[in-house]
Amino acid sequence: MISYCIETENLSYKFSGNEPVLKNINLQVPQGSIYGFLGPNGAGKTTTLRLLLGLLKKQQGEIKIFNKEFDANRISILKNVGSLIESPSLYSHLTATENLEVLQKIYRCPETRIKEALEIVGLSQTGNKKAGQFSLGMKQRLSIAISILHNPSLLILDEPTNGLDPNGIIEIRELLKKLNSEYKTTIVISSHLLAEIEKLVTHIGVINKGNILFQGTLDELRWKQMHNSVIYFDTSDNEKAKEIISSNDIRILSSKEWITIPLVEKKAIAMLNQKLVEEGIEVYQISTSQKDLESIFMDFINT
Amino acid sequence: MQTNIPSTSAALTSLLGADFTTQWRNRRAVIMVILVPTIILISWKGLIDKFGGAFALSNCITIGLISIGLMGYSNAIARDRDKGVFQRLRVAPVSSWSIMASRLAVQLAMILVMTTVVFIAGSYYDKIVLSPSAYALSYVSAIVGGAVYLGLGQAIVGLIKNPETVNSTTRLVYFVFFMIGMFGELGVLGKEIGDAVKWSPYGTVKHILSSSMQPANWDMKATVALLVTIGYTIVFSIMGIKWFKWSTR
Repeated sequence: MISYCIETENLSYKFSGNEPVLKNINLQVPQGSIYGFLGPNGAGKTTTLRLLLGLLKKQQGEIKIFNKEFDANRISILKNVGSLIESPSLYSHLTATENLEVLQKIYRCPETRIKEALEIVGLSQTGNKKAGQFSLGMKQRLSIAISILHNPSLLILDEPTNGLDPNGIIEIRELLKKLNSEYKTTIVISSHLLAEIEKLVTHIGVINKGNILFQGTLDELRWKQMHNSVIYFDTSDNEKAKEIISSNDIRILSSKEWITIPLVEKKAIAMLNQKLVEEGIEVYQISTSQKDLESIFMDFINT
Repeated sequence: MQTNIPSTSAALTSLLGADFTTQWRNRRAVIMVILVPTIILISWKGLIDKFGGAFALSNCITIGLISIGLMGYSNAIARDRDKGVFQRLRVAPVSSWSIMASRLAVQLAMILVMTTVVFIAGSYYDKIVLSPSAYALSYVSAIVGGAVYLGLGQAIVGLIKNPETVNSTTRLVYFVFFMIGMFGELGVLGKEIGDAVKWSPYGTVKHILSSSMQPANWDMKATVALLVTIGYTIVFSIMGIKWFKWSTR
């Protein structure tokens, strides 16, 4: 049985007088996973994450984190959660080390963790430079350092690569992978770009207009990708070719201009080609149309 | 690694350290808070013979208290709220009251520093020397008076989310208090305005400060001014706490 680090049940939320921002969200984040929470801007990602952290007062539904009801166990849950919500939230007049010291004393974790966290995010050489003078990317890294300072079991990151250059994005990706594999940290990472987190996540949840449209493993999403892929045949005699293909238990999706069939294995394509040629049909073209994950994501969003 | 639940004392100590360091490094704001009342006090040397030392000192301290509550406190809160500093602390999880207590402690220290500087300037340049009990009572009154403006600052930052709007609003309110309060007190703006100013937050705070500097002259009017000052503090604080949101989003 899958053990979930985060579970929500019919989580709904609306800001005063407005349309619901979240509608019956049933989030299931497996223990030890890297869960990509995807959706366009305004889909409800940040609201969901803020509810999970208790930054918004829950209106309807249930939230369980570490298998414990959130409201009744807020402090014991939050002490094992690291987070970065929206903008880097730093004391701008303090240095990177001083910013971490504030939280280190609050978390009462060893002082050595400050140096470790700064090294992990590549900010150990910033010296006396104040956080207010950092670039956006550096601020983002420092925020990540703060969120991992106490080695949390769960990391909730809201668009953590915002403002980072491509190298920075790769570094953060590698860092999160390392945290997940070495420390078994469950990571929830929100983004509006599938391509950005596709290489990182094990599970994906797609949200749009406050509804969860898909939730599952990356493999399940890839299966959907396969399911939505087709093969086209262009031949000298499409009517006869259609009969031959059908006689091999392959469903014809369409036969206007081209014969369209669902994606089949390579060997099956070769076998069909051979049979068509043997029956005297000239095969002009066989092409595959595979939807990439981004298109599938867009399909979800535009449904 | 097992993380301990943050203890209140550890959280408060850590926050105080961060907030005091921030205040110290943000010296321009500190200097402005101290400089304006000090310059006014020095420039009023000629008025001291006419209106008395207590009048000058109490007006200057009141102006300092207004700038601490409105410009210092509310702008710092609005800025850090917008940057998500409070949000970060609340998920640490630090209690809301610890976060605010630390911020208020910094402003309390600023009130004491500003009052001390005004007293020193008054003593050196204007030769205004009070009795020890008057100094002690004046510090207490400065804190009570400061609470009105901290409450007002809280109400403004509760009502307005955008830090730039908070900044411009507090400057406007500061200007109104400064000009109408000071000139109203001097009787330049006519009797009606002068009477209204006496029971405004400016007038009552100035009155309790002035009376504290002459403890022998503390009368029923001073007691009523103290009660009105406390009333203002309660009303502004309730409004500020009720309206305040920890996040701008």
